[in-house]
Amino acid sequence: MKLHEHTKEALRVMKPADFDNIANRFPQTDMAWHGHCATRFAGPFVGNYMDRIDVDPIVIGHSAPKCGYTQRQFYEIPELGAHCVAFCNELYDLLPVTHWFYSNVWLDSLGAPLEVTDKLPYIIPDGVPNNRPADKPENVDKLEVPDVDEIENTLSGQLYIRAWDYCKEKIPHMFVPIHFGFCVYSMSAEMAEPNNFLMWAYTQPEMCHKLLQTITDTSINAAIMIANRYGFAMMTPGGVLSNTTVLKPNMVKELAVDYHRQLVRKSFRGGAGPQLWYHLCGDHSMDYELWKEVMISPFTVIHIGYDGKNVFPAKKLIDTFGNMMTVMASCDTILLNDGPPKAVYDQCKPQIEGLLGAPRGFIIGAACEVPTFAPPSSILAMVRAARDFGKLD
Amino acid sequence: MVDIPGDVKKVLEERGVDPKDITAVVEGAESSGDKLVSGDKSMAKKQCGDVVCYAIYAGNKVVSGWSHKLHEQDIKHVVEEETQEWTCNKCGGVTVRGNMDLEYLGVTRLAPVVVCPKCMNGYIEEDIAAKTLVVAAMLLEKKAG
Repeated sequence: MKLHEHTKEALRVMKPADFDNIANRFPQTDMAWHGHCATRFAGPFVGNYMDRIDVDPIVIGHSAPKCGYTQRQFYEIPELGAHCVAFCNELYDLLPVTHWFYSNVWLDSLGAPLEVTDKLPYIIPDGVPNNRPADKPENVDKLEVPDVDEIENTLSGQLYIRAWDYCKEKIPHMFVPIHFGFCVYSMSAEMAEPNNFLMWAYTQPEMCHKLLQTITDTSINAAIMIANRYGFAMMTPGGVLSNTTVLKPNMVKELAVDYHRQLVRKSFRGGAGPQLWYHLCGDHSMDYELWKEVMISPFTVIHIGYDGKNVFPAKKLIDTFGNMMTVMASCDTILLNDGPPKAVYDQCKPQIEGLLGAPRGFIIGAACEVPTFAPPSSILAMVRAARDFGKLD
Repeated sequence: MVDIPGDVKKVLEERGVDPKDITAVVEGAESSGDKLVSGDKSMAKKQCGDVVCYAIYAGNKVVSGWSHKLHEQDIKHVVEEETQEWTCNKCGGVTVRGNMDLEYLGVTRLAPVVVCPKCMNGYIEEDIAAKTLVVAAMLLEKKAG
């Protein structure tokens, strides 16, 4: 495994946070709330609904400033970040679990440097020599897939282990180890540089496939690493750049859906799963039906952000996927950022009402991660809409 | 005479699978021809009481066995192009990836299977049964209280 000098330095100075010091910054979870919420959360998967539809606006970095911390602290101190999410989920009455993740995950194990900025999670920084390990086709052949043991000692591996070890010890009732597989197309594009990669898709498709396979195999080993350590690993594959805006539908299939199926099947074989959450960012108006061909477990959620410029309609989700998996419809993230709360509430109403007929469960969420500085009133408006229009008892 | 080696018996015991059921799976498949084949290996299944038992065997020797207690229902979806190593013994068709409905305690959910697209007969692989479906059954039982 060849790590970038940036990564080696980051690993050299990395010190896991003092668990007690972090945990003592937050009140203990209200276990009465947690018990109620856990039953509600299980509802979509076991067909036993209570009080109202679940709301998951995908709180990640948003939680840090709400708890008095910065984005940089959120990502550099995963123990703190995970607890911020857990605490905000309780405050907002969302899900009884925590999560902590970023999209360029595992790329460091293939030689890419990753850096946190004041405003963004781990990115490949510009201006750093050799920052795109697959910038040229000939370099794709030089990439080495790290094995399961090696990947534990990468920057991404260590960050995730810190987050999940902390949750397991300090907030075990909120603990779900997640393998963030994410969008294999986007991750490949980051390794090559997005414009390069898109061009290869047309001019040198064999290079695209070679890089996609490397990314997929790396992600599989990461999933197995997490499953080995924690006994299971919820998987979150996604379609971020593999969407209608960037690719023709047949390319979404060839460059994303087919690899995700392989990613999940091989990861399951290695002990990952059984939960699956397919998170499809952006516009999927032309390719959404292709995602019926992904791997499906009994605990699978599909979430699609947009249909053209509009949020993906709940009814279309149910018509396409309702008999196959739990469906997650969305509220526009821009609206969550800009408000006002009444507009959020009004947009959630038809989405929630549309979801209630889904035969295998439903959740209302945001089209993507709730923006960092979105006002709390937006999330509270979603929850209020869930109470008013998503009653289940 | 079906041969179940000691190491396989140990795994069966850990999984709570009765070796007699595995013998019944093999004998039933050899009698009916309802099985998948790959090289010298066969994969077969049989409803044994409340569980569906599966076996992989070569000749008369059992290689592995597993079971699950969810009720197998219809195949919901197949991915025709994702061919699998197994061939349907009945029709000779190459199997593909698919999804099968499973019902348990009133709840129906999909699980991935290897399926003959002609016969629409689905088989649940070992890891899916031993892990994914065990968790699924456990959660549904918890809900049933």
